[in-house]
Amino acid sequence: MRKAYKIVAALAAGIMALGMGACGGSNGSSKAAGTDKKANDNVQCQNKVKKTGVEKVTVWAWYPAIEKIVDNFNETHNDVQACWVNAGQGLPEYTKFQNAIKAKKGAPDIIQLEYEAMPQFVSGAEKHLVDLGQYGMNKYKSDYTKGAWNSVSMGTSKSVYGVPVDLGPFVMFVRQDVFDKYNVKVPTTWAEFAQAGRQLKAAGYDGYLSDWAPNGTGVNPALFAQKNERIYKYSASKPDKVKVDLNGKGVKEVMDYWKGLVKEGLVDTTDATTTDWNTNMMGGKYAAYVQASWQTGYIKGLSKGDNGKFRIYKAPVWDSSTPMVNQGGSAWAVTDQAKDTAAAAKVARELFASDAAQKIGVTDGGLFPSWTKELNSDFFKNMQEPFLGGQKLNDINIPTAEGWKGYDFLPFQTYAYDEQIKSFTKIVKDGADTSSTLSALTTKLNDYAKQQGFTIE
Amino acid sequence: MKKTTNKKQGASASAVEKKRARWGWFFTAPFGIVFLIFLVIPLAYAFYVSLFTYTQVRGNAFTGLANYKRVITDPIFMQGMGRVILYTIVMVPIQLGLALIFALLLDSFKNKFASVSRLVIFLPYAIPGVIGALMWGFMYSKNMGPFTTVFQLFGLGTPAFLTSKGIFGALVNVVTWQWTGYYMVILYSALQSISPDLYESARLDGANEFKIATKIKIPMVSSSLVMVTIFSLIGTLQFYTEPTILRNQAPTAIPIEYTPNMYAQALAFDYNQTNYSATVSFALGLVVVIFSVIFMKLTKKQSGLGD
Repeated sequence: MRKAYKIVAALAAGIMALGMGACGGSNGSSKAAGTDKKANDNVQCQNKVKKTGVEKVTVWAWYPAIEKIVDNFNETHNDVQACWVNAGQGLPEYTKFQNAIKAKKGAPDIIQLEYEAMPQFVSGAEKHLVDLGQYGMNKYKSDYTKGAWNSVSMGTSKSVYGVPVDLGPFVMFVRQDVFDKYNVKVPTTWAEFAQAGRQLKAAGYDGYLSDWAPNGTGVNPALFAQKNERIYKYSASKPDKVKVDLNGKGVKEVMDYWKGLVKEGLVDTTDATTTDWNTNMMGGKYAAYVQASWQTGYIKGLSKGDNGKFRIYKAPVWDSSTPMVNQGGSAWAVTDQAKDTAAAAKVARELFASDAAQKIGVTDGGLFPSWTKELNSDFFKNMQEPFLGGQKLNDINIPTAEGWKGYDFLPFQTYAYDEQIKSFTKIVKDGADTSSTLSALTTKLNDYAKQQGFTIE
Repeated sequence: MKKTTNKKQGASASAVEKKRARWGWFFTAPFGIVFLIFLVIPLAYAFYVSLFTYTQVRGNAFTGLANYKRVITDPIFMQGMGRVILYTIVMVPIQLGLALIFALLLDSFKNKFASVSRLVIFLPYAIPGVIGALMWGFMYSKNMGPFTTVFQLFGLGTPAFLTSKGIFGALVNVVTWQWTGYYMVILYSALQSISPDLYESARLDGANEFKIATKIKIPMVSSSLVMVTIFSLIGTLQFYTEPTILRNQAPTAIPIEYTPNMYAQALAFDYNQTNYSATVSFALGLVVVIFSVIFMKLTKKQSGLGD
C-alpha cells in the first residue's frame, strides 16, 4: 500500500512539473509579423481550393454564402488562395480563438469578428489582432462608411484592426397588414409609437404593439445611442482604460419608456428568437419590431415562402435631432498567429473588395455592406425584397447606415451583456426602480473592469 | 515467529503473494491507466491552474489560494450552490420515493401489465438527456405546448412553466421523468434477489402485503437504496444538462450562472477566466465529496458498508 502512495506522489509531482511548462498564460506581447509562405500548405479547408501549388491563407468565418465569396476570390487570384473553415457563429468562434491564443497555436490567419467582439482581443495584455495600418489599410478609409471605419479603428488615429464587411442599420419592421386592417398610421416618433399601440388595442387588435426582449443584447445600446448616450467608453489607443456609465438621463428615459409600455400591456416581454417569439412574430402578434436590418434574413428563414406582410420603415425617433444608429456588423481581422502576415492582410482586404463579391454577399448572403461603392450602386439602391412585398428596402437602410458614426464596445462585452440582461429585465419586466438598478449595474461593471486590471477613466 | 522451519514456507508464500499481486496489477492496469489519464491528471492540472489568476490587463500571475477565498465569498457561486441544494432536497426524495413505489408495485404484480409498465417507466431514461430536455422545452411552450389546450378545456390559464416562478417545478418535472425509471430498475432488480421463502414465512406469521413491503422488502434493498441516493445526490449537485438546454427557451428565467456547473462553463468559455473556472469546479467537487461522505456516514448501517 505504501508503495502505491509513493507512485501516486511521484505521478502528482510529475504532473505539476508538466503543468509548469504547459500553463504560461498569454502575456500578449505582440509578435513579429509572420513571413512563412509554406506553413499552410497542408491545412484542411472546407472549400475546394481552385489553384494548387499556391500559398494559402486560412480564414474562419460564418457569413452566409461565404463559400461563394471564397470561391470568387480564389478564381480571381493566382498568387494566393483563401482556405476557409466555419469555426462557429459568434461566441463559439471567439471561444475557439481564445483557446488558440492560450495554446499559442491553432488560430487562423484571418478571423471574422463582430465589431463588439474586437476590443477583447486588443486590450491590456491581449494584443492579438494585427494593426493593418502597417500594411497600408489607411489608404482605403474612404471606401467604408464612417461608422464601420470607426468600429475597426477603435478610437485610434492611425491604427486599423479590421477590414469592415457588414453593418446592421437600425430600422423598424412593420406588419403592414395589421396597421392597414385597424387603420392606424405607422409611427415615426417614439411618442407616436406608443400612441399607435393604444390605437391598435382600442380597435380590437389582439396582439401586441411590439416585444421588448429581455434577452436582447446589442439592441439596448442602440436604443440608448438614439438619445446620444454612449454607455461604454474604450479606445485601443489606451488599451488599459475603460468606462461604463449607465446613469445618464437618456438611458433612464429609454428604460422608463419601455417599462411604461409593458405596464400598459402594449408590449410583450418574450425572449427573442425562442420558439414562442418566432410563433408570435410570424403569427402577426407583434405589429412592429425595432431591430437591425439583418432581421429580414432571420424572419425570412422562419416564413414558409414569401408572406409579403412585413415592411421596413425608419426606426422611430425622439425628435428631429435623433442620430442614426446601428446594431451589429463584423469585420475581417488578421491574427498575431498569421503565418504570412502581409499575405493575410491583403486577402482580408480583398475578399469583399470587388463588385462581384459584394453582389454575392448582398444577394446570396443578405449582408448589408459597409463598402460605400456598393451602397452607391444602382443595383443595391434598386434591390427589391419579395419577402417584404417587393419593397425597395434600401431606401430606408442606406441613409441609416451612412448616418451612423460608430460607437465603442467593452473589452468584456459578453460579461457586460449578461449582466445588463439581468438588470434591464428587472426594470422593464418586473418594474424595479430604474435609477438605482442602473446605478448598481454601472458599479458592478466598473468593479469587474477594475478586477480585470483596467483603470476607470 | 520461529526462524527455522517457517523461513522457506514464508518465502514461497510471499512469492505466491508477489505473483498474485503482479497479476492483480495486470488486470487493473487498463482501468488504472484510463483513470489516471482522464481523471487524476486533469484533476491535478485543474488544481494547479486554479492557483493562478488571469486578468485581461495584467495577464497571468500566481495567486495561491486567493481564488478559493474569492469563491467562498462569491454571491453568484453561493446562490447557485443554494439552488442545487434546494433541488437536491426536493428532487431526490421525489425521485427515490416514486422509484421505490413503482419497484414494489411491479414486484407484487408479476403479470404482463407489470412488465409493459416497467418498460414504459424506464423508457425516458433511454432517451438522451439533451433530447428529453429539448422535447420538454417545446411541451412547456405557451404557444405550441399541449398543456395550453389541456388547461383551456378546464377553463384555466396556461401555467407559466418557462418563467422565473415556474422554472423550478418545470425542471424538477423533467429530471424526475428522466431518472425515476432508471432508479426503479435498480431497486426492482434488488427486489428480485430476495428469497421468496421469506415472504412465505411472513405470510404464515400473518403479515399482509403492505407489512411485507415495509418490514421485509425495503430493509432488504436498503443497500441499493443508499446507492441510488448517492447517484441522485451527486447528479443533482452537478445539475447542468437540463437547465442549459431549457435556457434556449427561457433565457431570462434561467440565467447563465444558474447552477455552479453552468457558472464554471460560463467563466471558462464566455468570460475567458479559466483559472477562476477551475476554482469553481474544484469547490463544487469538494461540496459534492462532503455531501457524499456525510450521507455515507449517516447510512453506514443500511448500506452494508459499515460491517
